[in-house]
Amino acid sequence: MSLRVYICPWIGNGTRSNAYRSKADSYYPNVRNYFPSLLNGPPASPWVLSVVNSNDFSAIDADPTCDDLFAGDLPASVNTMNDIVSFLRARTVADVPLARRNAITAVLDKYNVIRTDIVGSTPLWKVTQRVISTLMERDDNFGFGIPL
Amino acid sequence: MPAINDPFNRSNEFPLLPPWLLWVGDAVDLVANEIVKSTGTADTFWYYNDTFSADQYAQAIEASAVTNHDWGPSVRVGGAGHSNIGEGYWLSSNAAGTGAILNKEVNGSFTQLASNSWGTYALGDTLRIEAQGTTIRALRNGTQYSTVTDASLSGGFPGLFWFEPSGSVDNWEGGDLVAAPAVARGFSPRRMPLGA
Repeated sequence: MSLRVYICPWIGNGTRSNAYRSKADSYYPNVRNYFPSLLNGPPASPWVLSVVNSNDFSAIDADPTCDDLFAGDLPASVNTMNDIVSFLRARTVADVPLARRNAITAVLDKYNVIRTDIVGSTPLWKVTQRVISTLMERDDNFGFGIPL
Repeated sequence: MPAINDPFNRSNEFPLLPPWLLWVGDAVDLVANEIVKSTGTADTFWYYNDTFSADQYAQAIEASAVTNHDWGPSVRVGGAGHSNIGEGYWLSSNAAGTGAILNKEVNGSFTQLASNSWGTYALGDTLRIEAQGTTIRALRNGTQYSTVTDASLSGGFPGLFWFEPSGSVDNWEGGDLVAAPAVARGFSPRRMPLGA
C-alpha cells in the first residue's frame, strides 16, 4: 500500500444515504479528505483534497476529473502519513523531473492555487500546504465560524 | 470534566432520561440495560448534558445489530450556535462491516470525511471518536484508523448518532480529552529559521 494525494470533485447530495464525499471514495476504501463545509452545510469548494491509500491507482488515474497533485512523483515506499510528510518536506520542486513538474504546475493552475512564490527550492510540502490553504480560504467555518 | 461512563444498567426509560437529551431526531429508549431506537428513520443525535471542553471523546459498542451499522458515538453535538437541524461528528462502521466511516453533519448536510479498511467489524467492538482542536480521530478497540482535519464544528457535547430503527447500543463513555503533558521546564524546542 502506498499514498497519493489527489484533488477530486465531490459527489453526493448531502443526505444520509448519499452524503457529500470525495469522488476518490467511489474508487477506494481508504481515503482521508480535507473537506471544508459552508456554515449552511454544503461543501465550501467544488473540489477537495484526498489522500488515497492503495496498491493500484489505475482507477482514479483513469478519471479525468481527479488529478494526482504530484503527478506520480511519490514513491511506492510512502505508505504512512509520517512517510509522506517526511518525503514532501525533503523533496523540492527542483528535485522533480521537468515533465512531472510541468504536470504539477498545470494542476495548481487548474485549481487556481497561487504559486507565484513557489520556486525551485520550495519543498513539495509547502505546495501541499498551499493547496490546503486555498481550501481554507473558502471555508467559512475556519476560525470556528467567526467572520473575518 | 471527568469521563462519564454510562453502561445503562438501570430501570427502563421511555425515552432515555436526563442528563441524556435529544438534540434532533427520534426517541431512543433504555430497555433491558441497553438503549434502542425502535421507531423512526430521522437523523438522530442524543447528547450527554454536562460541562465538557471542546476537546472531547465519545465511545460505545453496538450490542445487537443496527441495520447497516448506521449509528455511532459522536462529539461536538448540539450546544450554543449549533443548528437544530443536526450537527456533529461521528464514527460508524460501513454497511458491510469492513471499514470505518468518519462523518460530519453540518446544518443537516452529511459529509464523509474519511473511510478506512479495518477488517471485520464485530458486535461489541468499541468505536471511539475524538475531537481535539481541528483534528478528528477514529478508533476501534484502541487502534487509530483515521485522522482528518476539519474546522466545521468547534464545540458541543459528546453523544450518539443513530439512524436506522434497529439493534441496540451499550457501554457509552464520553469526556474531555486529557491535555498533552506539559513541556518540562528547561526544555528548548528546536528552532528553525523561517523558510527552512
